[in-house]
Amino acid sequence: MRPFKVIRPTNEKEAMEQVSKGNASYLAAGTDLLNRIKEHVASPDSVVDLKSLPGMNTIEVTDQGIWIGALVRLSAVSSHTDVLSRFPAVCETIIHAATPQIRNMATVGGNLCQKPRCWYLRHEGYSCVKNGGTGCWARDGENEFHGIFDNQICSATQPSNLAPVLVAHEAVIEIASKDGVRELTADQFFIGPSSDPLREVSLEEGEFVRRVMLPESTRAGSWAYEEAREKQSFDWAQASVTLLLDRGGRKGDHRVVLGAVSPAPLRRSDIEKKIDGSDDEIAEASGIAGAGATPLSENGYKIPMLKGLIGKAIRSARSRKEG
Amino acid sequence: MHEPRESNDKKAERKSPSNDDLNLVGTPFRRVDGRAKVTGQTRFADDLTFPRMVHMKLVRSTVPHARIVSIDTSAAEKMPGVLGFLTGESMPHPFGILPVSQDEHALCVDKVRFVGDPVVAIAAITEEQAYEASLVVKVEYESLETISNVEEAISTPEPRIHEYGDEGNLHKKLSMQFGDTDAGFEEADEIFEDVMYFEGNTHLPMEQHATVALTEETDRVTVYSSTQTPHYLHRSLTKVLEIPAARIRVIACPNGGGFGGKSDPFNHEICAAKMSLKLGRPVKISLSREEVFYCHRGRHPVLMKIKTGVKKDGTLTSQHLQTALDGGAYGSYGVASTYYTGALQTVTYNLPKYRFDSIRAFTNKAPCGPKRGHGTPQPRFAYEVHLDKIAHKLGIDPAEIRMQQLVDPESVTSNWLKVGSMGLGKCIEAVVEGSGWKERHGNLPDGHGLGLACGSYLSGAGLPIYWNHMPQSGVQLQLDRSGGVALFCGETEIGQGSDSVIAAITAEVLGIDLKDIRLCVADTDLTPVDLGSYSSRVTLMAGNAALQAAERARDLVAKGAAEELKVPAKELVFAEGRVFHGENPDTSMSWQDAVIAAESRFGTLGTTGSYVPPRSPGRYRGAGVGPSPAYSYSAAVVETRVDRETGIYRVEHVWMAHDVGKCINPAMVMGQIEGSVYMGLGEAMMEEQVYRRLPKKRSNALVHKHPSLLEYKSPTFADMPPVTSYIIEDPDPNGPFGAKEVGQGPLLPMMPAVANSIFDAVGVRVDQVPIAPHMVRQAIEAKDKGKEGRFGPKSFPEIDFGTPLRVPTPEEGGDGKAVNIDEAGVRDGTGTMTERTDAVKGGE
Ligand SMILES: Cc1cc2nc3c(=O)[nH]c(=O)nc-3n(C[C@H](O)[C@H](O)[C@H](O)COP(=O)(O)OP(=O)(O)OC[C@H]3O[C@@H](n4cnc5c(N)ncnc54)[C@H](O)[C@@H]3O)c2cc1C
Ligand code: SF4
Repeated sequence: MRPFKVIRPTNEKEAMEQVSKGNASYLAAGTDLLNRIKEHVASPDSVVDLKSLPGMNTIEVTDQGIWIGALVRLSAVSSHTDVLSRFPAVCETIIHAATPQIRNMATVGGNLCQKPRCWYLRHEGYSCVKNGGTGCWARDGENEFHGIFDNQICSATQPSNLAPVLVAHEAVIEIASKDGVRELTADQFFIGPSSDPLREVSLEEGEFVRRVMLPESTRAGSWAYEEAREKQSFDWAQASVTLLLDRGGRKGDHRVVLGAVSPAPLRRSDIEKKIDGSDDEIAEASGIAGAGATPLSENGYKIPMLKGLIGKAIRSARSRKEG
Repeated sequence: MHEPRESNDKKAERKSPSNDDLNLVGTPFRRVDGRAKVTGQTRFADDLTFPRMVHMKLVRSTVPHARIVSIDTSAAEKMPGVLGFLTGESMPHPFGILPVSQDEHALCVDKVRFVGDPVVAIAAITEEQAYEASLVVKVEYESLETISNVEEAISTPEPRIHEYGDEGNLHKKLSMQFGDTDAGFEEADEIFEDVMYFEGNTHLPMEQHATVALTEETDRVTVYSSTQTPHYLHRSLTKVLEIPAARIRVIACPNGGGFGGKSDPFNHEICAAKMSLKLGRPVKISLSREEVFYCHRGRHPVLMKIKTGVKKDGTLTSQHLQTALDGGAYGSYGVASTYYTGALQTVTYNLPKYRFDSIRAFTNKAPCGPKRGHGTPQPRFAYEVHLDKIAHKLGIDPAEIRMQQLVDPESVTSNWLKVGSMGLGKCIEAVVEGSGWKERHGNLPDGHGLGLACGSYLSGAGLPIYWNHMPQSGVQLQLDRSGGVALFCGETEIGQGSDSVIAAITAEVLGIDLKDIRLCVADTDLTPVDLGSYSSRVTLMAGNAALQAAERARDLVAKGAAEELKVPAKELVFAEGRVFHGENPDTSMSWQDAVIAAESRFGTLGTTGSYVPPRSPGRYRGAGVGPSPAYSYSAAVVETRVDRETGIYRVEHVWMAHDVGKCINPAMVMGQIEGSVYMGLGEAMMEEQVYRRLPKKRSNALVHKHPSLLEYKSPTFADMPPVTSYIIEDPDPNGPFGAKEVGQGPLLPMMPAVANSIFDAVGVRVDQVPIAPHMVRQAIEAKDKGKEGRFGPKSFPEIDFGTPLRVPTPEEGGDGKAVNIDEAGVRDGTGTMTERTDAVKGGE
C-alpha cells in the first residue's frame, strides 16, 4: 500500500481546508477507502480523518425525526431502539449490508459515500467516464452485476444499502460546506451519471456529510426489504426492493425504491400505483418491474429477479401489517 | 531401577491390555499441535525472524504473454535500503514439480507467460523499501498473442507458450480405451450424453506463502518455507542453485492450510535462497494475498463430455469421457491432473468398458495444478449428475442405481486399478437413512430438494513423482533412558493432522502417552524422506512407516524388558506407559525402565520404518496415475431450498458419510469431513478463479478478475449448513490399522449433490459449477417457457485425440498392457507416469 499522511482536524473548517489541499480524501472508518488504496485505485497523499471531529457520532431523537450523525457505526443504527421501532426498514437494510465485523466499523457517512463496485472502476488498469476518462468498459464487456436502468453513460450501481431506504423515507442529508450547513433530500443527494459521471452524490469540493434525518412524517404503516445477492452470507446486492406502505399514516402513500439496478436509487411510482390492495396487485406490480429497463449482455436476469423480489416484498409487507 | 509395583496400584485393576485392544487409536485424543495453534505459539514461516534479516519482493509481469525486451533497475538501485537484485539469467536452469514438465524459471528468462509471472527480485532492509523499489523497476515487453482459453489454444498453435508439449499450445493429449467400448454401447438399451463444465477455483489457504532463507557458510543454505513438499523443493533448489542436495536444508514450517496450493516448488522460494547466497544475509519473502492468487496451482477449469450406455435396469455397459483442461501458463502437476480427470471414474460403479480422451492446454493465466481432489472432482461432478439424470429417466432411485452396481472389494477395474476395501455401499446406506431419503426424495414440497452423490479418492498416489525405487515415507525413532521417544519423519503438517496421526500410531504401538513423543518433522537435514503432504498419502504411507518403526522399537524394548521380567518377549504387552506380562499383568515394569533395560543391553536405541506402496497391475503408459494402496469412499445427501422467483438457494443440511478404513481420531476425521463439505460448497455455489481482458491499448492483458478476498467469493460461517457426518470403517489391509484417507475424498460428492438437489427442488438442471442463483433462475425461466430447463455449456469442441491406446480389460483376459503401442504412437510403460528416461531427461 502506498504510504499517506493522516491529518486529524479539530474543527469542520480545518477539515474542509485540509481536504481541499492537493490530493486528499476524507476518512471515516476506512472500510472502503483503504481497500481502494490497497488496490491502487485511490492514492491520496493525505487522508483527513473525520473521526477527530466532535459531535458527529450521536443519534438524536426529536419530534420531527431521528438525526443520525455521519460517524455513527452501522451496527449502532441497526440496534438503536428508536430507529428499530420507528424506522425498522432502515435497520433491515443495514443488516443485509456487509458482515457483522464491517458493520461494527463502517459509518453511515462512509456508507453513503462509498464508491461503486464496478470491477473496471476498481481496477487500476482501466479508465472510463467515471474516473475522468472516456467511454464505459462494462457496456460491451462484463456487466453481470451492473445496472439495467439509466445505464447509457455508466452502468455502475449505487452500492449503498442505506441509499434506497433513505430515498423511500425522504431522509434529509445535512452537509457541511464552506458557506455553512446545507440540506438535501436523499433523492437530491444521490445522483446519476447524467448530472455528473464523476460523482454518485452531490457533494461539492471539500463538503462532507454531517448527519442524516429520518423524518417522523414518513414512518411507514408497513414495510419490506428484499434483496438478491450471489453469496448469501454477505455480498453486495444484485437487486433490491424497498417498500414502504401508508407512510405517515396516509393510506396509499407508498414508496417503492429499487436498489442495485441503477446508478442512483430508483423510485418507481408506477409500481407504487399498482399496490392498491386488489387481489392481483402482486401480478400487476411485479409485471411492470422491467418497464424502461435496458439490460446489457449479461444482466438481463435482473428483470425476473426484480419481479420475484417485488412479489415477495408486497407479500411480506402485507403479512407484517396483518400480523 | 524401577520400584516394585504395589498390588493395589490402580493400573493393575484395569483390564489387561492386549495387542488387539487399541487404547489411543480410534479415540478423539487432543491434536499434538492443537494447543500451540490455538494459543498462537505455532511458528509459521512468516513468524520467523533472524538477525540481519532482509526482505525481498518480486516484480511481476503486468502483461500476459510477451518477450522481455529490457529490464532497467537503475532507478530502483538508488532507492533507500535497496541491497540487491536478481534477474532470470542468474538462474538459467528450469524446474518444475514433474520431471516431464521442467518449464518454470525462478525468474522469467526472455519471456513472461501470465500476469503475475516474476521477472525481478529485489532485496532491501525493510519490506516497504523493497516494495517501493519494486514500483520503479522498468521492464519493457514486446507483446505476443494471448491465449485465453482451451478453444483459443486449439485454434492458435503459434506462438507457442512453451517450446514443448504434445502439439502447438496443447501441453498434453491422450486417449485410452479399456475394452471394446463400441460393443459396450451396442449392448446398451439407452445412451445418455451430457456436456458439463467445472470452473477453475483456488485453494484460499488462510496463510499466505512465506519463505525465509539463511546462508550459513558460503555454500550452505537453509530454507524455511510454507511448503507441503519439502523434499521436492529440496530437489528443485539443488537443480537451480547448482548446489549439492546435501548442502541445502529445507524445513517446512507448519502450513496455515495448503489444500494443494503449496505442493509445487515455487519461484519465490528459490529466489529467496539465491538472494540469501548472494547477500550472505537471511532473506524473507512473504507473499501478498494478490500474489497467492498468482501462485494459484488450483482447480483446472474443465469442459467435459460424458457418454454412457445403460441397460433398462440401470446397468452401465460402457462409458466414453472426454475432458479439456485449461492448464494456465505452466506444467505444474498438469500431466497428472490430465490423467486424473479420467482415472478414478471406474472405482465406484462397475464400468466394464471405458474410454477416456483428454487434452490440457497452455493458456496465459496463472498455472493450474492440484487442489483437494486433484483432477477428480470435475469428472466426478459430471458423472454423478449424469447418473442422476439417467436414474431419473429410467425411473430408478438414484441411491438404488448406485447400490446395484458397486465395484467389488478386492477387485481390479477395467482400467486396471486394484481396489481393496470398498465401503461405498455402507456410506450410501448411512446417508440415505440419515436424510430420510427414501420417503423424502422426490416427495418434498416445491422448492425443497434432496440430492445424492458419491465419490472416491486415493490414499496416496501409488507412484512417486520422479522415478525411483526408494521408500515414499520414512520414520526414524530414537529412544533413550528418559523414556521419551523422538520421532523423525519428513512429513509436513499442513493442518490436516498428520503430526498427530504418526505420533498416535507410534504411541499406540509403544503403549506410551502422546506427550512422551517428541516430533521432528519436515526437515531435510534431520528427517528421513517423506514425499510430502499431497495425494492424501501421509496417514497411509507415513503411518505405515511409523507403524513399522514403532513395532521394531517395541520388539527391541521387549527384549530388554523380557530379560528383566524373566518372561518371553513375545508375551509382553505395551500399554499405559508400562510393559506387562500378558498372562499375568502383575508382572510388569514402567516403559522407562524397560527402555533403560534395553539401552543397557543394546546400547543407543533407534529404529527405522519405511513404506513402499504395492505394485499396481496396470502396465500401459498412463497406468501410473490412478493406482493407490487404498481408495476411500464417500456419499452425500444435500438438502436445498430454492426460491423459484429469484433462483436463490440455500443448502440447509448435508449428510456426509466417509469410508476412512479405520479412524485414527474421530474428531480429526470429522474435521476433515466438515472442512471438505465447506470447501465443496464453495466450489458448488460461488468460487471461481476467472479472468478478464484489459483494454487493447493496455496490452489486451488477461488479468485475474478478483485477486482479493473481498471479491473472490467464498463461503463464510453464515453460509455453512449443519453437517451430519458418518464415519464408516471398512479397514483396508494396506492401511495402518486399516486406515485410509479422509482429507480430500469427502469434497467430491458435494458439487454434484448440490446440483442434484436443485433438480429435486425445482426440476431444472445447472450443468456447471459454481451454480449462481441467476443460473437457476434462468433455467426455471426457460422451463416455464417450454424450453429445456437447463443452464450449462452447449457443446464440446471437435478435438482429434489421436488413436486411443487400447488396453484389454481384466474381464477380456488382458494382462494390463496396451495392445497397439505402435499404432497409438506411444511407448509402453512400466506403469510409471514418469519413466526413467523422462526422469533423467527432465532432471538434467
Ligand atoms: C466485505 C464487505 C462487504 C460489504 N458489503 C456491503 C453491502 O452489502 N452493502 C453496503 O451498503 N455496503 C457494503 N460494504 C461497504 C461498506 O458498507 C462500506 O465500506 C462502509 O459503509 C464505508 O464506511 P466507512 O466509514 O468505512 O467509510 P470510509 O471507507 O472511511 O469512506 C468511504 C468513502 O466515503 C467518504 N466519506 C466517509 N465519510 C464521509 C462523510 N461523512 N462525508 C463525505 N464523505 C465521506 C470517504 O472519503 C471515502 O471516499 C461492504 C464492505 C465490505 C468490506
Ligand atoms: S460502468 Fe461506469 S464505472 Fe464501470 S466501466 Fe462503465 S463507466 Fe466506468
